[in-house]
Amino acid sequence: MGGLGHYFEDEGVPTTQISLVRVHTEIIRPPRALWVPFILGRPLGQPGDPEFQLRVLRRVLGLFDEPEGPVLVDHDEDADDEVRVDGLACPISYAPLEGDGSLGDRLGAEIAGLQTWYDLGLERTGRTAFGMAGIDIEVIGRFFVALAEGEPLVGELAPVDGQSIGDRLRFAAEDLRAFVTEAAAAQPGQMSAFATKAWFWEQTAAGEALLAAYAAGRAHDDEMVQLVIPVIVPKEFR
Amino acid sequence: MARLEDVPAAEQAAIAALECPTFDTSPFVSGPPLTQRRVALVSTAGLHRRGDRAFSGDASDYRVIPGDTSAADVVMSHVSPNFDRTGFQADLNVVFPIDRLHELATAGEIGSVADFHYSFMGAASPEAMEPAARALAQHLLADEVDAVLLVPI
Repeated sequence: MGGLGHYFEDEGVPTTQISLVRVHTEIIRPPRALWVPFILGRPLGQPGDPEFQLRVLRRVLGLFDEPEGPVLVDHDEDADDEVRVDGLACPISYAPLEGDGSLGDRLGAEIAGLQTWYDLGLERTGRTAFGMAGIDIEVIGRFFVALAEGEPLVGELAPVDGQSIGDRLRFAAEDLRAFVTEAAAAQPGQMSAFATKAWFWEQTAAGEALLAAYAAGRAHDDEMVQLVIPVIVPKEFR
Repeated sequence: MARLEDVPAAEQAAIAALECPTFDTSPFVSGPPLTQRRVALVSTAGLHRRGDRAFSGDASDYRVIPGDTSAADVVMSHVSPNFDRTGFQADLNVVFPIDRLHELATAGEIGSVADFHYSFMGAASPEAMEPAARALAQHLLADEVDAVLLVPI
């Protein structure tokens, strides 16, 4: 990010930026930067809180009033990850959709059970992060189960036209996470970003399927699968 | 809450080990008061219009996002397990604060909001982005943008 600031400014375009990783900004020394104490992925702090976001914006845009640079200042208001935010609510005691069946059966049941909540969330918010892979959620589920069980990725499981197996992996994994977490967010209750992450990877069949696909994918015959598979599972859950 | 020392150890080590560019110069362009500036957003979240080309894993180019693009049509193809996406799923503005910029313009706190905004994909190195960034700067100047807000992910 700081590198972009340098290039733009060098071409005559004034810039200011939000910094999420202060040590990087200290090294790169962009013209103007506001370091914020928020989690990676939330540079404006709190979703659904316009006043909070405006306070961040006023601080970072206010750096244009600085007479000289580089300037790096700290934002002193932390985001409250535990605060209930409309549209970001999922239940703390969400009952895992467990069963005695195969991974495919349990993932299929989980997807079917969550579909009504996903649909409700989409209806309420009007937007979804799902859809990057260009295939249905049921096919995404079968894709990761097949990968986990060493089955050939052919037919509906093969990448669509113009898509590499690497892109199929990346986007299908994000689509599965988006489907499950957006469905959970539409349910009553609340959960922090960190708790949602732990819940997904430790309690859902979707997380279990991605973990199993990761384990199998590391030894897959296709080198592209081996190369890309690490991006679908956070290091701390492998 | 999520300062670098608070993220999981494995992730923390990977982030700390990322190589950062250094520069011999420190360009710093002045301009009019904020109330007269025209502001554009440049994100590195791998954002683009739904239907536009998704970013490849090492893409160093950018996508244009017209200011009138509906929030429902802004998607993210920067794929990484190391940052939260639930905030983006709940509220585009936590990543791409386009509505907040319009509110500041309406209140007269900034001059105006640019017609076009942009996104790179943060997995690429800054050096790889340099040619596209310098070319994009010419478009920003042509659009009379004199305030770019860079937003990481």
